Amino acid sequence: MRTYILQRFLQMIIVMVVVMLVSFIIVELPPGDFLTTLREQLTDQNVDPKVIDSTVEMYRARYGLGENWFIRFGKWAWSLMKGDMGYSMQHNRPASELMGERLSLTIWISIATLIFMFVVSVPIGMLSAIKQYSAWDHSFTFLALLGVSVPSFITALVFLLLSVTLLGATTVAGLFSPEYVTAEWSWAKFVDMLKHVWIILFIVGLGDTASTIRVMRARMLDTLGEPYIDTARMKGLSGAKVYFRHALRVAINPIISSIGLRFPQIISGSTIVAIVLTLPLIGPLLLEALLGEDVYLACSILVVLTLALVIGNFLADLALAWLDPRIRFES
Amino acid sequence: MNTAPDSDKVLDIRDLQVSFRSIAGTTRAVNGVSLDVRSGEIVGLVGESGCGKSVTIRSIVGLVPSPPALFEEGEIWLRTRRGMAETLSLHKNMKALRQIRGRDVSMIFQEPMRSVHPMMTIGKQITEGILEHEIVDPAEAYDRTVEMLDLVGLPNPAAQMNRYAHELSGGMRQRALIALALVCHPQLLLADEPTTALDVTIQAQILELIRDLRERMSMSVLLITHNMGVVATLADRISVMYLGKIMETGTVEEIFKEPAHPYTQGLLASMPSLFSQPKTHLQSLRGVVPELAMVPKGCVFADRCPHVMPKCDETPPVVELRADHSAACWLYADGGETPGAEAASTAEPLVSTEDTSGDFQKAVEVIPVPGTEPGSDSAQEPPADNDTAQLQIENVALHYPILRGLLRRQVGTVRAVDGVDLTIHRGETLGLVGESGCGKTSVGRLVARLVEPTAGRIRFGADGDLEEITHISQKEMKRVRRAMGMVFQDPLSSLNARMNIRNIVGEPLMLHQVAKGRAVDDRVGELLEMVGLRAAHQSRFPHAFSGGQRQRIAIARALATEPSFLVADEPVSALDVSVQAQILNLLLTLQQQLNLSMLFIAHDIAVVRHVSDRIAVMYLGKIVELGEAREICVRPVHPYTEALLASIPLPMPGLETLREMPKGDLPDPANPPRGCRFHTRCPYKQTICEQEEPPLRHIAGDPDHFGACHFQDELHLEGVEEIDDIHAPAAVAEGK
Amino acid sequence: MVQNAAEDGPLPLNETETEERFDVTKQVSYGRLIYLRFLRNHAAVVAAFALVFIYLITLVCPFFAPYDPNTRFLEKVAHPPLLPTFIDAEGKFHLRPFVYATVQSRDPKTMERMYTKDTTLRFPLRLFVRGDEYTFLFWDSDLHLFGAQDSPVFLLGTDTQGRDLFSRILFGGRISTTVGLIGVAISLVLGIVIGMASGYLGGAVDAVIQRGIEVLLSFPSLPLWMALSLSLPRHWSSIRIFLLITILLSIVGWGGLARVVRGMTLAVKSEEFVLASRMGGGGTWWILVRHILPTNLSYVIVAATLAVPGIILGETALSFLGLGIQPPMISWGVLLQDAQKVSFLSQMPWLIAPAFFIMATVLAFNFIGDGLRDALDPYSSF
Ligand SMILES: Nc1ncnc2c1ncn2[C@@H]1O[C@H](COP(=O)(O)OP(=O)(O)OP(=O)(O)O)[C@@H](O)[C@H]1O
Ligand code: SF4
Ligand code: SF4
Ligand SMILES: [Mg+2]
Repeated sequence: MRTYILQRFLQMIIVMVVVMLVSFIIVELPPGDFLTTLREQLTDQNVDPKVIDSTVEMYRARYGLGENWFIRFGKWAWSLMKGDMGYSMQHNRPASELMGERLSLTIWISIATLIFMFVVSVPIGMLSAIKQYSAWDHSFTFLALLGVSVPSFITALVFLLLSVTLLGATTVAGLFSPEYVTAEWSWAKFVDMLKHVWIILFIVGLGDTASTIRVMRARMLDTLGEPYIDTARMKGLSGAKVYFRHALRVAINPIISSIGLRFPQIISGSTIVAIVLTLPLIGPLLLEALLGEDVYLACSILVVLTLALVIGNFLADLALAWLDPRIRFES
Repeated sequence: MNTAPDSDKVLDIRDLQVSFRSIAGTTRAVNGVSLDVRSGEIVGLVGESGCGKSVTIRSIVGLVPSPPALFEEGEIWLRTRRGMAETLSLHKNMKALRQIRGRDVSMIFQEPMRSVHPMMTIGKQITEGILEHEIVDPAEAYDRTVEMLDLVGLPNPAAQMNRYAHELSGGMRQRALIALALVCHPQLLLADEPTTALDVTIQAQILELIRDLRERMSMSVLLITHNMGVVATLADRISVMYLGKIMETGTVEEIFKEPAHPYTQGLLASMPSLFSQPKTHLQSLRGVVPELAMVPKGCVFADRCPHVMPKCDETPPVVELRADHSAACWLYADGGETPGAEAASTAEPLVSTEDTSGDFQKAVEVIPVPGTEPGSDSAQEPPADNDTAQLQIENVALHYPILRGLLRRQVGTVRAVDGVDLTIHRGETLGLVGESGCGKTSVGRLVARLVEPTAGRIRFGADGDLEEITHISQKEMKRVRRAMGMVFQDPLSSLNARMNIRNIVGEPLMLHQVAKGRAVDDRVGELLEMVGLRAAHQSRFPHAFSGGQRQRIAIARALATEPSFLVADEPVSALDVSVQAQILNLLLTLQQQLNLSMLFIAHDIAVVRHVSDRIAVMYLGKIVELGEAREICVRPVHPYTEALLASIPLPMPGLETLREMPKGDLPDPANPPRGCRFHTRCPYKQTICEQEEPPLRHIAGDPDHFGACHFQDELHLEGVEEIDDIHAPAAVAEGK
Repeated sequence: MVQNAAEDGPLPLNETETEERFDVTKQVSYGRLIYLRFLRNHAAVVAAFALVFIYLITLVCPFFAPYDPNTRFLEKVAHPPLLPTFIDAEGKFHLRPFVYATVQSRDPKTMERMYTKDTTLRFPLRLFVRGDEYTFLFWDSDLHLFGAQDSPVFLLGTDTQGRDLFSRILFGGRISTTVGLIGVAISLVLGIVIGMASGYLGGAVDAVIQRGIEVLLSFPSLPLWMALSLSLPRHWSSIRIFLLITILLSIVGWGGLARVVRGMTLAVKSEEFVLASRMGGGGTWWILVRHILPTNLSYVIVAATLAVPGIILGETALSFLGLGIQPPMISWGVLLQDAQKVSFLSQMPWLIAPAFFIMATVLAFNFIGDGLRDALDPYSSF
């Protein structure tokens, strides 16, 4: 078990380094000299020329611009590791400051979506398999296929349309009631968020919930056909015990191990949904950064999101190893 | 409702009919089966695959999914702790059924590897059963489980409690499953092919265990199997099933000594046994088991029956031949052409046909037996005359690295083949036998260089001269392979489902530019006819053929380039007994016609003995005994060979084997025991065996018989006696 | 007895008796069997027809669209959808469907635009009318499938600049649906080549490729696409941007396909028929092309079918965010940009119409993919 954790940990570190490298290449990819763009932009914003000079100089030094690419990568990666996400040219503020709360909210909402996905899809998929070809199964199989086909930004748009036409809303539903938007975090604000957040979870999680229902149903059907289920039945166990104690444990495995693939999709979904519904998540910031060609900010966001995913993936693997003795004893 | 049966019966199935509904229509899988099991009795239910054995036995406990199953008729009476209960009517009442399952009746399944829950400890799985049925505190349930694990012969039972399925071997899992089934002391154990997935030595252990537990726990057993040998060793009474119907029922002695039904007679005659004349044709049933949708009207066996008569268009009655012996056949009923009294004599000639095998026997004698200089004590094959040796491998090894972890580090080596020497002579069949995982298949693939040897030399000669092929390029190898053919184990996977038969069989022709265009069609047609199929079948796809027919196609492909050497890797182990006999006959015929040399690989020593001139016995990557086929079976010199012979369930009831059974499991091939590799299981082990590895050397007084045991010249091991000594109706000697 | 003797002859078994047992389904090839099974799945068949229809009307959009996507009807800005009817205001039935003329006015209070029907003016719909000129595959024409003389027909209304939304959706669909096909084609080539190499060669090649795919799949695809779109030179011609975006989408998408192919290759590699082919003299190329590729192909087609929606959605999402296809080029995502603004949406809810076209296309692909997968399932009976 310990060697397994160690191995997975090493693997995670390697993936992280590669992710940073790839992101770095993406930053470097755009044509044009970053410093020239920066200088132009700052000039446009009527910033004091002295400040411009010193800012540009600071960037040259910090990112080693003009030096070898691997030195530049090293410097960038090092500053990232120290928690320095770079500097937003548009906002004239350190990126980490801008990201702060948005980032943590994004990650929490994604985790909540993941939980929502599990809570909804596992029972539905399981019941569909147990009652195969029943009306319940047919309707959920169809609904799930429908759900898989609707991208989250369209769900968000439809939601927007409904709230505009049916409820006559003039502003977009956010995460908070208006009075809490700028308020400090408090219990009341948290409760307020809970009231609003479920619809977001639904919008972001719909597609993945639907596809998890499909996976769960298929896995459960496979598992119920396994001989060890017959063994369990022959002990005289009740249906519930067979399904929950014996079948579910095995059937749910691939769903847990697929967290690593689901999570990126949920983050993708939450990014675009946040843009459509103007939620205080990381998505709108990323879009803004991209449209404003604020490369270092955009890239930091990409890297941070991906690293969060890689860590999440690692944790999911640990959970799996803890659940499944076959993996636990592998090494 | 009918009345409950007398209390002597533990199980009474009456006229059970089960159908399956699908889009293609409704097919009847079980068609009026009646069967009973009395107290303390072991009843065997035998039949070929797909004949409805599993559906019958699963209906007893409601394990057949419905839908698609329809229980159309019948009653199943089961003795429970509350008296007789009719379980078919309980299918609706799951609660009552659950109380019976595990407590009054239990079941063990065919695939022990998949029947243990992979994520729950063994202990938890067994105690769960106790706690379900009885009000006991967990500590007591724990103790009882340990006791039960001990009873089924698992070593160190307390430690097994915390282990998971993947930590146990197949044999151990089946033992654990038996413990699980018996922990609540049911009166009836249903065993659905409990040993089919296991090696012969393990099978022998499990059968022994079931027999032993029946006495100790005074229970009854209903045993399903397709292996006549297994029922003969274990059962008291037997029912023979074919296409959803019971053909014949009787005590084990009657069924084996005086089989009445043509199907039973055919089944017994199809089996190559350790007593039959080697290299002769087996009496096979013609044709194949039809699909359920194509079952003939009247007697379902009619289209394969050698005694078929007009009357057989009607369903035959079940005739009581004697107390406890009945058969469903017109031969014995009034209205049939042959009165019952003459039936037995009519049936008799079936197993001794006219002597068509005569010329084969002559051919066998013609095969040159390798000569050797007396007194040579080298462990090598005797230096054979180059004119006769077709294949020679020397000290060949195949090691697979075990890679683990991120960096794919090598953490060990599986020594699949570890220094093997063999010579195969022109026109000779060398049989290679051993348990699963011992490296048989690897030897077969090494010979054709389908895998690259780790060490050693392989020499092959298509026409006379031996040529070294160990390291030649793939291009040259292609030329060499033209003279080799190979037949694989799995008839399903060995034919590409996307290609039609013409392209499958013609592929080697095209690749070797033997033929082009229409010429391929003609040659493929010829080949198909040679293996007993029709030339017109070329345009069909593999899914249109049965397992036996597919194996014929595979043989046609192997022979397409007119090779002089054939590797047959378990060519019959995936087939039903009756079809197995057909394929063995075909291989023997072709070998004679084409003067093929053959490396014949199988795990069943009876099959190997039947087709081979010489046999090599393999254990954990090494040859442990090598010699003339009959000699090896009659006078084995290696304890492992003796164990293999002793493990084979013989279709000969009452023949108690007193020989030593091999203990334990096959060791991990990645970590073979030091010294003699068999010492962990050998009953004759001495201290020297743990330290020194015995070389393969010829035994005293016989330069053609080799063994790799330190004590091969001192031990007096038991083989299988010659035919004359034992009355063996299943193997009435041909030509005698 | 007689039959038994026959068995021992040179022809070991006479198979004629079993001849009749072959039913029709057994005579057909594997491919045909799959086709027959697919036909049994009605939802998939309907989806297949729907998809053919969608591709037909979007590819030949200039003919099916009543107007050029850039034609502006200045006095019909933000016009709601006007569906042709058969029954007029008096309840009389007309054989030829028609639309009424509309008159623009302003709400006196809110100053919002309003259109009222003028039931005195009926414009019957006609087939094959002449209208805006277009060029389709070097062929100049001004023929359109339908239209009404003297009055515009807005099936799905107009946008803020008075352009016919239905026509724009068809033209936008041409981009969006082709992106899916071209993108999958690129992913497919990458996936098949890399997946087969990975599976058949094994060893270090396999390990490197697999780790690479893992890294690729651990990026959240949308933010990655967004970041990659930064590298698109803004001043390039729209057709080049279109191609670049397609390539970009498939670069992210091939990983999943490569895994499918690799898995299949591994499975097939250990099948005995591959060994049999080597025994018969087949080399690596022969085996890859004659055995492994055909066996994989059907499964790969399923995976590809199910991958098309992902690429279509990627393009739509990117364009929707303003990072993909740029106006004046149109795609479904570009069209949806307008719907993003709450103020627009509240007044012109019909602007969301492109979303339903996207959903219909994606749904069709998913249904077909599902149907194909079931048809390929070796355990499914006929
Ligand atoms: N769930 C099911 N649905 C449809 N057909 C079934 C089902 N279970 C069994 N059958 C059919 O019933 C017939 C009898 O099957 P059964 O498993 O009882 O045979 P068997 O004698 O046990 O064979 P084997 O030796 O292969 O185990 C077969 O043709 C099989 O295809
Ligand atoms: S009833 Fe007729 S066909 Fe059936 S086994 Fe007896 S003789 Fe043969
Ligand atoms: S060498 Fe020893 S352990 Fe090995 S088979 Fe002979 S007696 Fe048994
Ligand atoms: Mg069975």
